[in-house]
Amino acid sequence: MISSVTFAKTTYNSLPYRFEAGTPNIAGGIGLGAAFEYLDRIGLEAGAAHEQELLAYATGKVGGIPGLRIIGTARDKASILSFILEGVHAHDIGTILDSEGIAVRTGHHCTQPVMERFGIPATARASFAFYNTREEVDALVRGIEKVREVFG
Amino acid sequence: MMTDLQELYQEVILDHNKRPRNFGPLEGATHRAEGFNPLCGDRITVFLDIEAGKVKEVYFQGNGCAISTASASVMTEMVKGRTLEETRALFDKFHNLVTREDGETDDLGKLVVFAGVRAFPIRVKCATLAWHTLQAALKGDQTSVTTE
Repeated sequence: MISSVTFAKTTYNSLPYRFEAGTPNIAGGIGLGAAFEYLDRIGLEAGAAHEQELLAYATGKVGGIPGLRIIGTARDKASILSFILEGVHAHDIGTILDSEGIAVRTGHHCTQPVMERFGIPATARASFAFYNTREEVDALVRGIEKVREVFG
Repeated sequence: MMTDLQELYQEVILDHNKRPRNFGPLEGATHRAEGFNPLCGDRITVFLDIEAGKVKEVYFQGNGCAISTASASVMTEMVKGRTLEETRALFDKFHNLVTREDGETDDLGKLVVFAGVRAFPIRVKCATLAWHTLQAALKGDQTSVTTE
């Protein structure tokens, strides 16, 4: 960051070093490199294909649950599945799924205007990455059934 | 021995969520306040009719999760007819109940069903939203209450 500092005056280093303080995040940089190498080995296209396949599988299974509505049904989507369940607030869905070992996000997802557009307060949102499996989707479905059971 | 989840979503709470008591607007309310949890979208308005230092009537409206709705519903049953002092004391006890392992349960009546919230820290704000809103209404605060 600095070239020299005295009580009287500070001179800064040249670009880009003047914007980098002290010791850089060396471990972080190396870690990021390792992450890229890992993704490279899997293959970005293979990973994306797996995610899309899971999304299609999950959309079919979750979409078939009575009283459940999927929010966000564009043809081309990232591998996320937002949904609402009749008579059950997203927060309650999240707590029960959590007790079944399934992590989803709940709330307005920093998209209050979208929530308003759909006329809903919140959704529960499952997301699928290349390390998720069909079995986990099945577990999600069983978890949602449990939610319906609790709320009768 | 109930599991944590069973304790959280027990009969009384599910019932009060499905059929909230004292739900609706109150014509001629002497006090009212709005409460909001921006993290999840729970919204509530509490209406009060205070007469001679006592809560003559209390109603609530809004929408939110099962915990916040049930909490508001049971709250209205518990504070109706009480003095303002008693109501404040009840709030402190309730807050204790849902946040502390050793929260005492005397004089809480039906409110003890919310003890299960302790095991789910993220839901504490759901349980206390109605009470915070009630406090704001009693104080005559014009601004709405938010959990954040």
